[in-house]
Amino acid sequence: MAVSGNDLGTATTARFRASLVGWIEAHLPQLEPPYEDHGTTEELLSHQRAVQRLLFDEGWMRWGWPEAVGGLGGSPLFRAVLGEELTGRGLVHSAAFSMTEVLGPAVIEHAAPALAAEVVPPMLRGDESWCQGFSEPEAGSDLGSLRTTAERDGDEWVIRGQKLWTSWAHHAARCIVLARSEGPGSGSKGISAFFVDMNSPGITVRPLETMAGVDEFCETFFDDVRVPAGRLLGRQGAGWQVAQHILACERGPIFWQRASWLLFHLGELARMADATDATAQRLIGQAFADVSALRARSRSTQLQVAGGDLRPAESSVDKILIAAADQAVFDAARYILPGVIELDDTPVADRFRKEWAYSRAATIYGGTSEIQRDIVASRLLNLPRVP
Amino acid sequence: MDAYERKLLDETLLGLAEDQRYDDLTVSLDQFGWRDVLAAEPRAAITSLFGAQGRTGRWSSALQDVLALGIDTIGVGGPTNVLLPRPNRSVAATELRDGITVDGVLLAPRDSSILTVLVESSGAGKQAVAVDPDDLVMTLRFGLDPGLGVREVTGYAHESTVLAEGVTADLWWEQTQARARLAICHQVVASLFVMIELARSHVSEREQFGRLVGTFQAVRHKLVEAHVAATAADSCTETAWESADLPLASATAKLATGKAVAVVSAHTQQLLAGLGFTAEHPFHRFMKRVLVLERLLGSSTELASELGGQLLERGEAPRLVEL
Repeated sequence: MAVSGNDLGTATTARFRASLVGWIEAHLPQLEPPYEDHGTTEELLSHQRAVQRLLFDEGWMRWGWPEAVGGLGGSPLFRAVLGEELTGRGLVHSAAFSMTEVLGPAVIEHAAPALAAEVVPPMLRGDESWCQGFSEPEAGSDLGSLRTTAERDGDEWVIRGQKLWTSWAHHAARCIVLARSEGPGSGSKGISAFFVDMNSPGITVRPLETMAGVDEFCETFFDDVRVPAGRLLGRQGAGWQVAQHILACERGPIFWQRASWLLFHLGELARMADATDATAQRLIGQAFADVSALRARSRSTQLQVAGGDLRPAESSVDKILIAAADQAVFDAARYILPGVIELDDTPVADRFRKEWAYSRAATIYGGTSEIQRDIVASRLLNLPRVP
Repeated sequence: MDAYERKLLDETLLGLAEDQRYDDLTVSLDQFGWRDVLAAEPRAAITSLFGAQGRTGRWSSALQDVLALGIDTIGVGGPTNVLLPRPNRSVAATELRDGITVDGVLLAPRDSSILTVLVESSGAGKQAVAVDPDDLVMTLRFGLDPGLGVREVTGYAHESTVLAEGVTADLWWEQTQARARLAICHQVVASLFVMIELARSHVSEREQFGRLVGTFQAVRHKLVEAHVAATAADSCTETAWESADLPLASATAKLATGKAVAVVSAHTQQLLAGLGFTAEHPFHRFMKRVLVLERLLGSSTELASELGGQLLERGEAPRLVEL
């Protein structure tokens, strides 16, 4: 199989970008979504898979990933550039394109090398998608108090419990599950992470609809689900570190492509707005500054993450900024598209309605803005701890 | 300039700003040769000096040097000061039939017999014009922050020399304004971090209801909001220098900085409570200065409209920096 830009291993991001953009522009008909509205979850994921397959087969989806898991090497920043150029043209949905970056790096870091080599390539190629089994009905912000248990039985672990807000679990082939492997009351030190096949007997998935009518996330039940011991990620009891790694990785290339997705929508709004409307000008200007400030801040985080230097506390600042920028862009949309989000049923209305609704969750998912502020207060500002 | 030279420059300029033996920082800067550094390495010189001024709460005529940086592109024959527009205005003068009506703000001027002014001329767009300051009325204004050495300059200049017009004048002002905006941003952001530190140390020591004030979540979150806003402004300002579109990036940095001024001033003063309101605590000096600087060369309110207007005209929201 010919790989596009096969001399890019040592290229600068600028050269990588130039080659990539040339390729994207030559392949637009294959990359553009076949729907004009937001797309149903099935349409969205089916397009995502098709795009990922094309990108993988042509090499683009492999640059920046280690060779041991089917990658082609080169700077990890290439992954951020790929996401940015695709979401920045509205070719893939930002949330759907996040999955590889949320879970891939943690599996590479914490799974047994043979397991990572087996499961990462089909995930990168879009042949299968994964989900993240962290939150529970009684453990949201206080993730360390989760109650799903994992009990050792010979060469297997037996998982029992319930997960909530598992995005796209109903379409996922695998799930990274956090479960309590030590006794009750063991807190965050008693948690282990498992790589679980979603077709295992005992798993039941019930999709939940978001306020926008999208079946994006799910309730996932684990009734005595048996998982081979080799599917433990990291050491037993080191699940918290795996989770921290995943949350820190979320603030790498994903934030970069999300910012690009926001600029794409802001550009659309700039074209649709009445250019003489003073309020539209002010809202667009303010939202643009918010997104640009996020990008300015995130740029240094991208360089750190690419260098393997994860700073979870500092990236909490990025998380607070991206949530505010996300909401500023789609708040502006409600004014600039008068009544469209509230009253219309056109494809544009469907798209902006669902994006606006999703932006409401930006201050909630991936650690609420309040939790981020607590982290910054204690760990960056060194304020006295709460008694 | 390599990292070692840059560190040396930072330490030297901070040392000059911290040295209270000299009333006039401008004299110390001239002895050091700051204008030579500015000419050779504008980014490093501006970042370093205005950061030092912001940290120490000091001020000098250095902004005039920054404003004069690209003056050779419009051919002023000698040292000049540059007049700034008043808040909410985009020019400092308008042209009438046989002369120029000047109404602008001059910050800590240097000795000079030339004043360069951006003029809105009827029909001909904007012009850069040199006038004789002796023809005008120059009044020292104390305002909110007497330490800034603000002069209100008004009057009617019968004689003037047109230095540039059309695209040349626009380009000169775009680049000049961009550098001056970033200089102000560097100073303001450094002061915002001082204000945050003053509030941080206060809430880390002060007890009420039998516990440290800094353990209350309402207090902690206010201080984090301030830190996040200042950090965003800092990142925007630093990366603006690398943007291919310096005018747009510096306007964005000034907008983010203006927003941070509002958030940081409100929250840190609230957390310092009575101390932040008294003239005996250093806080008020920093707060007043950032509020005045925020109003010059585009406040966050003005810039939101200006930037938004530009984006609506372009029909796109560009990336200011790349990876």
